[in-house]
Amino acid sequence: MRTEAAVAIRPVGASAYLRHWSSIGQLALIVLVAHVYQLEGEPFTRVLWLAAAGFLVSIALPLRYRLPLFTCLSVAAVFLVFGLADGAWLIALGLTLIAICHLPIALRARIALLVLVGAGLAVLRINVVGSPWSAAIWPILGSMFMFRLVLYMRALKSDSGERTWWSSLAYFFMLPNVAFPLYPVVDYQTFRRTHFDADEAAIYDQGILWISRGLVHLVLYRLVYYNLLIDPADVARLSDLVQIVLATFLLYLKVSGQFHLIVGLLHLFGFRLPETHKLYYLAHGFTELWRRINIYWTDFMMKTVFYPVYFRVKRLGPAKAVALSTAAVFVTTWLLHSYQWFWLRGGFPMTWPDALFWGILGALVVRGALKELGAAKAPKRSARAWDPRMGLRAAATFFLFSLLWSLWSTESVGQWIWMLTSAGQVDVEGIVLLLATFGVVALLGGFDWEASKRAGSSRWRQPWVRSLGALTMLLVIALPAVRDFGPQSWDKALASLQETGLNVRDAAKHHRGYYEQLDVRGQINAAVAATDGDRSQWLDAAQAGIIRTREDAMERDLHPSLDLVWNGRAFTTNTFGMRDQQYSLQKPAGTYRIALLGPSHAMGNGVADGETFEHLVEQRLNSQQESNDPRRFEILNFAVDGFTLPQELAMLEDRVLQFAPDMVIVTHYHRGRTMTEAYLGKITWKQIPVSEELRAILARAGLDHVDRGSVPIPTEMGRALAGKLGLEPRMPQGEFEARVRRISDAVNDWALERIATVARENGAIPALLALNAVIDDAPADIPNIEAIRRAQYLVFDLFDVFPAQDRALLKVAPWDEHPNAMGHQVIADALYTQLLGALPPEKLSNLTHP
Amino acid sequence: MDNVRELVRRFILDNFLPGEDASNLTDSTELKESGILDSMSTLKLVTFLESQYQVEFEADDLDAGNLSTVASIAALVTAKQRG
Repeated sequence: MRTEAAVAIRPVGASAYLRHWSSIGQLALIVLVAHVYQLEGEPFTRVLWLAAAGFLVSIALPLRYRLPLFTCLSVAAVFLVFGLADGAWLIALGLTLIAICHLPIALRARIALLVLVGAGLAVLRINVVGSPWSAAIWPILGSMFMFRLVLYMRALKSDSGERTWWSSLAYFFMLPNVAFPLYPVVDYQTFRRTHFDADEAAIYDQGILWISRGLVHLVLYRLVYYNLLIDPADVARLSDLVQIVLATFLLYLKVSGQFHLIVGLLHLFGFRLPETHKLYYLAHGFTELWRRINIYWTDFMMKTVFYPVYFRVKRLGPAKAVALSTAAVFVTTWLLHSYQWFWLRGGFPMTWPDALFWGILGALVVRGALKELGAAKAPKRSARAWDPRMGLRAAATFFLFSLLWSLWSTESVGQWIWMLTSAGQVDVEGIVLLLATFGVVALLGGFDWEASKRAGSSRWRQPWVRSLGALTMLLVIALPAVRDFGPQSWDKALASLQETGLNVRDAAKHHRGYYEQLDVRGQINAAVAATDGDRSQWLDAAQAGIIRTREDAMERDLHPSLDLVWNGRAFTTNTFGMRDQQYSLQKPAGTYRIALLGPSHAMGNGVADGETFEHLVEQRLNSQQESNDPRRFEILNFAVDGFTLPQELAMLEDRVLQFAPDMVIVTHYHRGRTMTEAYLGKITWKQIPVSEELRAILARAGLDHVDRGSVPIPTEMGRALAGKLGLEPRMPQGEFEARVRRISDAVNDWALERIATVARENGAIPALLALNAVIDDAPADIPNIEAIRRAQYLVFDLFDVFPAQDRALLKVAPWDEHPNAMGHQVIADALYTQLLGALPPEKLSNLTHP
Repeated sequence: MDNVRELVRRFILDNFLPGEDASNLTDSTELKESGILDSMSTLKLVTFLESQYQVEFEADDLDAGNLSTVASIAALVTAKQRG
């Protein structure tokens, strides 16, 4: 670290506030923007407030106290986010690792010891042996040490500069890290070298600019995530394909946004670190793109792999040495992405899309590097003029990389190929979108922005002008008046900028891409950390042993006559396999009988027997009848965990009708379509016999006969060809899912109409209960509403029954969105009210509305 | 050292910044952060310096701090020459 004498004299005390009033004012705006948009969750909010308060103290201190202050703030942030116990564990583990780096033994012995301790921690990470700290600290501990230890040890080996405990602690516990598991690989030497090595006002201005840029990236990310991203299985036209390919690459804005935020915050404490991303959407080739996207990673690889390999093999000649060392970088990067996944999420995934992505990108970068090596000189560029060749190269690089990125983001290679082949319908919208994006990237990419920056800066390029402009713009578009200004789509898009949950696709599938899945901050708050220990003991329905698999259209039901405890709650079934008390097959005289069909939240996952809404409504209906009144109500709970509408139909025909119900209530919810897709998968792969009507719908999507060989081959033509070559092809999972997607709505429509018909034919009123689990991201409309109307269902609309502000209190657990006892009471109250209006008046005695 | 500095500056201007106003490249211009030196240009520069001054570089010499400016490169070469 530099000493105070080595840098310019700065005002300390109150005069510092006068000098840095612009930075202080803009930091207040940053806090306001983060609050308005609820950016990056609770841990970040705490860290941002701490950083803002720390900044105000830091600028008034003499230089020698600033690094100790930053270190103290960093340690305080750990406790602020994790609480005392877990915070102490995190600090203690970190101090142990740092202490090992400084043991008075040979460097190799210290490295061996670190590897040994790392292996021990890995064993704890995979939960072979329980650890005394919460699972929530793993991603942050991993993030702080998994790569930084390498750079730190490297610096210890080669660097003889001044080193203090403050700098070591500050480096590992770096203030923003506790809120961001995905963190740039900051180089230790650069971290030390750049601390207040320039005018502090300029450092602060730069930091504020990068924080503002990060906020813009994060808001743009939401625009893409909530409005542009679609499911690969939904691709049917060229416009869908272009949209998904562009959107998946644009999702990376989240990573670049977070990294800008992080490095910007570090600037506020004097760390003049370099930029982490530089106009990566406008790169003119893959080699340049590799250098501009996640620059810290590229530098890390240069230091630890590229240069060491190059100097080792340079006797083979420059071209071979460059090719070998670049290939080594990409193999290492591929492996280290799985290593990163391990510490942040657990598990060590090695998938074909991963291998292909890094393999193809590596090959393209090697090709580009060799071309650069062979070129005598860099091409002459003008700072001002637009160069059409460069523009075209930027657009081509953008599109090819987007396509490659979409491969990385899909679940399997088969799904990706199927997605590409599905876009057979070339629509005008697709062509316009393609040409417009190409044109915009070519236009912007044709300028040399770096040269323009070097050529000097106008007043409008001053950092404070740009950051103030960005922050003001973010605040203006958050105003309700601005949202009202444009058409409805404008209003919807602007509203999405302030959303925080999963988008519709992810909410339904709980699936996200590589970087999305590494964003594990949901785990990192004290509330989750406090309860996370219970999660490992949590059993789903199959693990609890309540489900019986069947080989007919019902596919599953409940074991009859169960009496057990499931996740701490009493769970019993009667002799007919209902999660309910015992009923007679014969309907008692004067009784109005309702059959309830539905999935887990109707069955009552997570609540005890007497706490289900079905039981509460039944009890309330009967409690209001006079005791000697023979007119009673029975609600028979036929709901089964995981049930879909076709399964509810199968249950109705198989079991319910013999109980002669007067009303049949089916339950439909936001995941109805996804669950039906999973059900269709099971009956298709298991070749379970289904009705002729359902078989006909499956045939429309080519799913009546599915090849079940061992080699996944996309498209029917491909499989036919493979069959002729003697292979045993099978439909890849991705293609299967896409085909199922095309008919899942039709299957639900059919099941709804068939249930209504069967109910009426047997003298029962068909009713539909629209009821979600306790979620934040329910779609606005009930799915399959047209079919529901056609079949003239009596609708009990409880689709949005849980008040937003109470949802956290109404869930079974933070990780389980089934309603708890209180949630079932909310449902029961609402259902009771709606049911009263639907029951025949002659069946009621004293019943009144609540 | 001044000679080394001038030669390095000339090499960078000729090879990596053709057409650039020479006054934009000072002894303290950040070479990496401003996008002038990347991995390939670093290797070209190192190959040039090795042949010009009969010195040998190692991987550790290529840390960003050593090659951050014309001045730091010149200092590194001078140190190498002194052994």
